[in-house]
Amino acid sequence: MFAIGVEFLMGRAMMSQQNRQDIEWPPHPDRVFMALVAAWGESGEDERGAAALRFLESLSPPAMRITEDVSVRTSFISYVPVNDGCSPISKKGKAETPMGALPIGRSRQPRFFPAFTLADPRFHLVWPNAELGEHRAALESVCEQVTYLGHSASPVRMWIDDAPDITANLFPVKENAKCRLRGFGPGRTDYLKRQFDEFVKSGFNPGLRPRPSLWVGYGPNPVQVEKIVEVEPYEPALLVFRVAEGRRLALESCGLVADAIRRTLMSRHGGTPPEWLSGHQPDNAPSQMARPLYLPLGFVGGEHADGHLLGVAIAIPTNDFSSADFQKLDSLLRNHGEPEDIAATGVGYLRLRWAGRNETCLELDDRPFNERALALRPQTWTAPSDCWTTVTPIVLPRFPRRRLTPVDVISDACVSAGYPRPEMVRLGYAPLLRGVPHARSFPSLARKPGMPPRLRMHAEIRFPRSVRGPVVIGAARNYGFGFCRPTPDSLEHTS
Amino acid sequence: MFGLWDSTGPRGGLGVKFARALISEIIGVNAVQGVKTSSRIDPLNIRVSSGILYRAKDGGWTLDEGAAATEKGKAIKLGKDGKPSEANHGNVTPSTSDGGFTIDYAEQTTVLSLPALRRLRFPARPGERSTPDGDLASRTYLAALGLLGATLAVEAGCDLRSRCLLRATNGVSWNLLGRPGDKEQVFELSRESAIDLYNEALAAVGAAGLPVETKELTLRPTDDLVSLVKKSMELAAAEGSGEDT
Repeated sequence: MFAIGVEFLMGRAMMSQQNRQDIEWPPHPDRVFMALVAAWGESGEDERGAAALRFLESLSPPAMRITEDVSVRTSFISYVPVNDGCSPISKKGKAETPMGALPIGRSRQPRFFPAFTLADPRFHLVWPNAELGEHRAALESVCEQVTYLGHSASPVRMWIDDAPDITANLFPVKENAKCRLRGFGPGRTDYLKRQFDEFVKSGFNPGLRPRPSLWVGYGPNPVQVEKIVEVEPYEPALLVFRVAEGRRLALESCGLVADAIRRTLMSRHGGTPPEWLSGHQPDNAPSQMARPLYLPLGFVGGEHADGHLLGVAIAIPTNDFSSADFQKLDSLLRNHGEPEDIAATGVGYLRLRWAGRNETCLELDDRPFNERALALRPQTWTAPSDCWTTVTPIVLPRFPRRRLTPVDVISDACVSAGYPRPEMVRLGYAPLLRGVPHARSFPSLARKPGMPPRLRMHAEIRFPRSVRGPVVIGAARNYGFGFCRPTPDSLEHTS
Repeated sequence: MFGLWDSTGPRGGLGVKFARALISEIIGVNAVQGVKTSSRIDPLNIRVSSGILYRAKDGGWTLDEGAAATEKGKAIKLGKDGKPSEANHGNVTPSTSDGGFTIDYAEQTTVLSLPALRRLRFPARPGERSTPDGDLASRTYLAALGLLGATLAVEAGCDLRSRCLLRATNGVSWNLLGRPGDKEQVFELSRESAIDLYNEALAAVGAAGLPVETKELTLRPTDDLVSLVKKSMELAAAEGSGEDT
């Protein structure tokens, strides 16, 4: 067992999330790792240090010991000189306000410097089942070179600790995650080094900032689940994008939104996109592989639910999707600096356009879960349950016949999608959750001329055992149809 | 010591950049927000309806409309509407607003990061590599400079702003941090000791053959900058009077 200990020397920390306004706590393990790589890089890049870092990245995600007693300082705007301009005359020809004793001014822009105080200024990343061995001395040396974590006004000291009384309270988990944190894995050291070299060569192009490579769910000590949870076809760690601005959409627009996201990503990719993105094989036949799904997160279930879209979740398949594919997808989801975008280059951001000048903008939601609307929390859609109810209707992949009832078709569709065969299916065109639109209000999907449109029906499905979401069933899953919400034990009806 | 980034120089974003090595912060403990009042009692007790004030032709103000400066044939009122308050006369209605904090005590924490200094290298001449002895002497000098600066700042007192004067109730003590669990070395540094330490470190830098500027730097503006300052001041003055230039 060993741990990396970190202490905030000022008794307070200045670390922010990507929006640079909200604090980041718990700290992302990748932030600690990037600080180690930076210390190694600025201290001579010795080979033993590199070997120690590569060993560290090869280990499984660490557990963490952190304090949960956090006091956030009141956030306020500071107007500070910025780095890319020093003229005392503004672009509009006006004099900038003089600063201090100087007779000339300089442009100042609003910035936030979020800070927080911790009841215990120390935290640990813990590997309970690993030993450093020959890498200990080198990693200790790298730790001693780390100067700050987060803002440079947040100095730290870092060390290797193997005290047996370090008890972790946050663990990497596959289900019931309370938060998703950026982790690090094999290849991270080399990627960061490469990215830094490119960054410098490009003249500090912000589009080359390091991307996250691995998202890890963290939660309390995993508890044995009584009911067996089926192996999921999709990762429960959803990438959630919330609607930032633009046209307000409803659940009926799920197909339109999914198609717009796909076209946006393909446009950003350029050239020949991979099969998981285009949905086509090299010979143009429809793809048969599992692909990322773009799922509509609508306001449903609550007393005043009206089904409008709060955001979109991207579900990553557990099979047929490598970490290289994920890195590519993550790169495509980042804003590429289009002039009209409000988000900074490099943040998760999508501007969707359709039918002329209609557009809606989505931005990656990395806020703490407790600050989000229910619909934007992944566990709303992924919590294990044996009962699931549709939010968008299931598109039946086959037409029912005399000896093939709609229930049979949907049961077969569940199995095809990777879920167990249901023990009960209740069907109808009317919605079974408050705020969900009628099945017939969803537009039909285009088919070849002369072919009738596929049936779309709402369903309540009970599986023989607990299933972890997301649950997406039927044809047109890639357009957000057949998306279900866990409804354990009780159902909300619209009547 | 405080870090810098020469981002607006000829190299733009590739300009020299290094993080701060000295961080300090004063916090107030158990702060309670207060309320401040604003009002004025005019010792002459001039009422707002006492008269209309006009801008005088030769500066100042006058009650004589005939002696006032004119614009388009009309006498110009002082300020917006010629009230006595435009000439700083008259009472101001009392009001309250949020302002000020009451605290139990204030606490200052200062961190001097030696690892941050260890990242810096000091070649004797441009293009040369630094030597271990030269680096050590330079980093020691910077550490001594940081300690001296922090010591003298405390000694100068904390007159942070109007009605915010803090007085230290105990002497400054420094903790030299090693690994957690190791015994921390606690020491105090008087003004005299800090100056002696600084001078000793400065001498070591000289002995190592490294250039160090000890005289106060005088910066002279270029003619273009002087012109820019004049232009800036003219613009500011014009904006203040509401005139177009």
